[in-house]
Order: sequence, then C-alpha cells, then structure tokens
Amino acid sequence: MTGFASCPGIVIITLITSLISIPVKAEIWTNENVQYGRIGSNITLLCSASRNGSAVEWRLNGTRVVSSFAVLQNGNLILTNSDSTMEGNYSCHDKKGQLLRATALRLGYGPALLRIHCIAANYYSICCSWEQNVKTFLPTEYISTFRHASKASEICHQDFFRTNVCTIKNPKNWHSSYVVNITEVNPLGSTFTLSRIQFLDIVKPDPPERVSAEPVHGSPRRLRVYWEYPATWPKESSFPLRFQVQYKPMESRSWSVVEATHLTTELTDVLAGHFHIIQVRAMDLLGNGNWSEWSTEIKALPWLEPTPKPEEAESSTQSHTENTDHSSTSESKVESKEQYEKLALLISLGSLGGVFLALLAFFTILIWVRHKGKEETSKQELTSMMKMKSLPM
Amino acid sequence: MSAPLPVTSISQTYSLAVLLRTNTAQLLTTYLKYQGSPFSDRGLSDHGLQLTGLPVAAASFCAWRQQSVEERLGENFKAYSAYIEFLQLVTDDQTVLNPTALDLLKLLRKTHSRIRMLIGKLAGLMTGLGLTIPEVAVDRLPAGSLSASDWERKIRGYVVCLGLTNWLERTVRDLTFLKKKHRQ
Repeated sequence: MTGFASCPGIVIITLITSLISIPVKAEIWTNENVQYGRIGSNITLLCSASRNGSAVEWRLNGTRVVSSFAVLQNGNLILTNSDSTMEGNYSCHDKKGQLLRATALRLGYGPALLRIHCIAANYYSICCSWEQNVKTFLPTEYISTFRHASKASEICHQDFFRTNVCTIKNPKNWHSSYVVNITEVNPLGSTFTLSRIQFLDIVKPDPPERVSAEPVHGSPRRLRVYWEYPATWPKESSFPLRFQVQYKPMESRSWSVVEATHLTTELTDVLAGHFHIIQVRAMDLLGNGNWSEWSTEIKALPWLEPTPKPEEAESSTQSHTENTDHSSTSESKVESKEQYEKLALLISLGSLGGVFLALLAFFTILIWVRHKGKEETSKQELTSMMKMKSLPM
Repeated sequence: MSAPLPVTSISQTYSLAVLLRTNTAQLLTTYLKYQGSPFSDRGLSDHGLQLTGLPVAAASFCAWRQQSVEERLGENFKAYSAYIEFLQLVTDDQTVLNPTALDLLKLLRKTHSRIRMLIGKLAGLMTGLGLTIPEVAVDRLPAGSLSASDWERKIRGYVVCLGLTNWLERTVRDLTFLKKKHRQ
C-alpha cells in the first residue's frame, strides 16, 4: 500500500502507538492469535482486511457459525451474551474459502478478591499463600508485595516451583503489623487484595520431629518419649519451645495429655500390656502464636512382665484378645484378672482346709477304733474271767 | 576481657521483664478502652505510627541475633530511658483526659516504676560486665509535646503503650539469649 509513508514511518508510528496505549499488565498476554473475553459480555471478533462489506464466512472449529447469538457486521463477528460454549478457534474466510484470519477465543472472568493466609514457622520468615474465591478460567499471574505500614513496599518472593505462595524473608520482629498485597492479573484486568498480619499471631511451629518411645525396664506402666525441635525452628533458641504429649491406649477414645519443656518425658500411667498411640506438638514458650499440628502417630508397648504360669497366661491372653469385642473400658479387664486371682486363692485355701478336715477325721476315727478295740478286749477279758469263775472246782 | 555474666542479675532482670511483658499488654488494652473510638474499636492497627525520639523495637531476627552483649543491653537501656519520659507524659495527659479512669492511671504509674527498676537492673548488668552505659539525652521529648491537641495526645499514648509491648517482647528474648549464653 502506498497510503502510508515509507517503512520507517510506519515503524515510528507503531512505536508511538504502543507507547501511548500501554495497559501495563494485560500486555503480558498480548498474542495476536488469542483473544480473551469476559463471560456474559459482547465480544467482537475482527476479520483483518475490512473488505467494504464483502461477504466473509466465520467458522468455529472449522464449522460455519450459525447462531442466534452471533451477528455479522462489516465482516466482523459479534457474539452477544457470551458463554463458555462459544470458546474455540474462530476463523474468517472469504468467498473462495481462503483463510483471512484465525483467532482463538477464550472466555473467563476478571480478577477478584483472594483469600490470603500467612503463617510463620519461625521468627525469620513468613510464608503467605492465596487462592481465588472464584475460578476465572484465564491465565493468571500474581504480584506479591508487603510493607510495614508507612514504609516502602518490598517484594514477597515467589518460588518458581510453588504456585500461589510467597515468602517474606527476614521480616522485622517486634513490629506490630505487616500489610501483604497480592495483586491478581489476568487478560481482563487486575485486582489487589490486602491482608494485615500480626507477626506474633501467625507464628506456628512445624510439628516436633523424630518422635520415638521406649519401654522402661521393670515398669509395666511407663513409657519414655523422645522428640526433637522441628528443623525449621532455630535450636540455639532465645525462642524456646514448650511441648504437649498426648497418648492413649490404642482401643481407647480419650487422650491423656502431659506438658514438657525438654525434649523427653516419661509417661507414668500407661495401661500395662497395651499398645499406646503417642503424639507431640510444640508452641513458643512465651505463648506467642499457635500450637503446631500434632506429630504423626507412633505406637509403643510398655515393658511386659516375664511370661507367667500357663493357666494365668491363658486367662491374660484371653482378656487381651477379648479387648476388641467388648465396648466396656479396660478397667473391667483388670478387675476380672483380679477376680481370677482371688478365686485361685480361695480354691487353694479351701483345699488346704479340706486336707485338714480329712486329717482330723482320720485321727478321730483312729482314736475311736482304738477305743472301741480296747473296749472289746476288756469285754472279752471280763467274759473269760466270768467263765473261769463259773467253772466247777 | 569482660567479667563472667552475673547469673542472678540476669535471672532477676529476666523475671522483671517477663512480669513487665504481662503488665504492658494489660496497659495497652486498658489504655485503648478509655480513649473512645477509634482506639477502643476492635481490629485497631497502628498503621506504622512512630514518634520522634521514641526508639522502635523492630529488628530482623538475623540482625538482632548478631548483636554483641554491649549492643544488646545498650539498645534496651536507651529505649527504656526514652520510654520512661514518654510514659510520664502519657500519665499527665491521661490525668487530664480521663481523670476518672483510676485503674488506667494506677497501671500507668505501676508500669512507670517497674520500667525505672528495669533501667536500674540493665545499668547494673552493664556495670557488672564492665561495659559502658550509653549516654542518654536528658530531655528527649519533641518540641511542642506539651501543647498537643486531645487527639494528638491520645495517638501519642497509643504509640507509647504499643511500642512498650513490642520492646518488652524483644527484651525478654534478649535476656533469654543472655541467660543461655551464660550456661554455655
């Protein structure tokens, strides 16, 4: 075309135009072949060379567009009240079917307010994450910054690998609050969300690590638990942690809890002969922030007494296997064991008494027999004496 | 070579700081309660307000961690020396603004005397360690402090009470650090 000036002239004009019309952010997605539109609005698809109203045909994904929602105007296609069914590859063809222009149309929503959640696993970094309240269906980028109120904005660093997460490195402690700003940008515009965070409120350590438990030899009702500071919490600590240990027999539903300030504690009231589940959690000793999540459950069995006599062993294993059947508490198991013991004692006492009685009876009979025997003898003597006396002389 | 850290002095100062920490938290809530809206509103934030001459406690963990004993104690000493003057100013203001808020006034005076004790203990620690006690200007209040409007006085009191809570949080950590250092 000879209309415009020479090539350099066109270049200059193009440059000036783009300088003037910089919509700062939507430029990210400037791509001749993709057009973005807002769901519900009217979209105009341009066919490049306006050919004085010469007939053009529009196709969607290769198929001719015939819809009550699509209006042809000067070669351009206007989609009214757009919805997601109108997304796709549009192409504009001339009478001969030759391709004049192809555009992909993607529809979605503009950015809206985000849900921001910040947490600090220690005193030297804050991690903020966010999510959309409503899906936009469009490519999105986020700009994350923060400030201490009146100071200048600083970057909250985003990781290449983690989406929708940023880290404030080396934040100021003993400062009242931060304001975090996450700006959502997509082809339809940008919106920023502010979140005020109080450092001391968002501190939440990671759970304690390497939790383990050992039986205590000779003590069937004790277990010793060990754990370590989470790797993310500095151990040199002018920021010491305090801990809670929760434990329960496997079959039980209610937990017992003990407090600890060191890295170990001894549980002194566990149920003998039962597996227990143990967990530990941590919190700043001064009470700032929140408890960590509970560490993963570990199982432990306290020290068992050496194998008892067969009958007793049977009764104790019986009560052990009956555990899962009964819904009653484990205390009744202990009671029945004691009852067995009492019964055994009674039986032995009874049999001992029986032996005594038998002996007593035996001796009584013996004495009686002897006594009887003596009587008989004396009687016989008497009768023989009398017989002798009655004999004629 | 500095003298070995005096254990009992540090422990005592630590206990006082822990006490003051609870004290100042209570002072802040009580103070806000009596100032009316927006101070007494929920979700109030400081917007980064600062007062000239009033040191801020804010410090990054890394920078704070690297302080020498002298810097550590010195910063605390300087801070509380300034706060004690501002605290007196706030007490005077509140005596005029809220004369019937007896619990607030009592709390202000109690905090004032405890901060004075803390300053004494910090000075004692530094002397015991052979450290130089930093010089503090006698009159630190900014010009025109006494002719402020009611609104300005209220704001000022808020910044002082809030700043104190931040400092006590930091001081408790400073003393924990010193206690642990001695044990090593």
